[in-house]
Amino acid sequence: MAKSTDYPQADDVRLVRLAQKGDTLAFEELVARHRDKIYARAYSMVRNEDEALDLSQEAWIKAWQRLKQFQGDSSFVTWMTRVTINVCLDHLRKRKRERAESIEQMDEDSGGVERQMPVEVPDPIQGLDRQELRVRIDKALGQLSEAHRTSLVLHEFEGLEYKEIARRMECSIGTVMSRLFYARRRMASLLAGLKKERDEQS
Amino acid sequence: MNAETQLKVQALVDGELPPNEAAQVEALLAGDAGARQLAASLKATRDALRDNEPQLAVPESREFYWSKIAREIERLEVQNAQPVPTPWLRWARRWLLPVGGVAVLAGLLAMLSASRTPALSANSSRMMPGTISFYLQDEDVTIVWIETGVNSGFTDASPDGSVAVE
Repeated sequence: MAKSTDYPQADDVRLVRLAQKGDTLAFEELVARHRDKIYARAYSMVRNEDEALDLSQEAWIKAWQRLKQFQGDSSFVTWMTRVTINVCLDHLRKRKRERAESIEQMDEDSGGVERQMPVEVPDPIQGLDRQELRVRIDKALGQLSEAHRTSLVLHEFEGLEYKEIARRMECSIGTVMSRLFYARRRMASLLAGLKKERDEQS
Repeated sequence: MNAETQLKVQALVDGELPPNEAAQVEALLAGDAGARQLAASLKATRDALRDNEPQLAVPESREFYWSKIAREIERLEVQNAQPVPTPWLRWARRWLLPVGGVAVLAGLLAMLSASRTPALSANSSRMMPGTISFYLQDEDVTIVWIETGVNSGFTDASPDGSVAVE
């Protein structure tokens, strides 16, 4: 009699091996285990709940189709987030850029207001618990343009280097650096503003 | 500090500069308070983001979220399980059927054109009522078929009613 697998107790490595042999129960366990992180990553990119749901599910389906290509060089969740990023980038490329974004791009290329602003050294952790900080970061991310937010997500959350970000976003390394610089300065300004707002309310 | 220098400070913070350039920017930081403040700001923002990625929960139950994925996986498996035509069958579908269709059409057209008799034509429009003429082009002969009878108006017709006219 074959030994049944205790899926919730199995680690990711074992679940992946089973799923690679076609075990959908093992894959279901992987989905259950990591769906929130994958969904959050998709949401960071597209900032729309329905789109993030669809894209995250699309990422899981693509992962199932390509599971045999996963060699274990990285953790499963790292590989899975890369699949998700690629799905989201494909989706963003298909969307038309809004006029306001291209104006923002011109502004950034010409020097940008952010370069002249006083340098903020955010101390966002002070007085905030982690959950509250995450909520504020999420709110601030929503105020960035798609291109700037994507650069930030790929660099800060995904840990990609400039060259890799440039390849995935189909732009130059210089553009990546400019976008990242703008996004960070904007985030610092937003977080400082949110902290000031909180201090005034308390 | 110009835009290029600002980006180099950022690249230093991110560890993206080659060693010799990194040394130059570090020397700049040592002598420039503004550059040091910029580096500190960029680093603080980077660290705050890296350690605090927003955590969100999928706004659907485990079963519902999985059900859509499972349905699509099943559909793909059924699609992949369908037999793939062998190479020669694919070739036949792609080339033989269209070529065969054209060949059949050409044959039909040839048959239709062969059934016509351009060397023999009938013309009764200029003849008397009760007559039909046939012109044989190759022989340069006109045959006139006359219906004989009491009221036909012809008396020298052959027993079958035909009269050859040259």
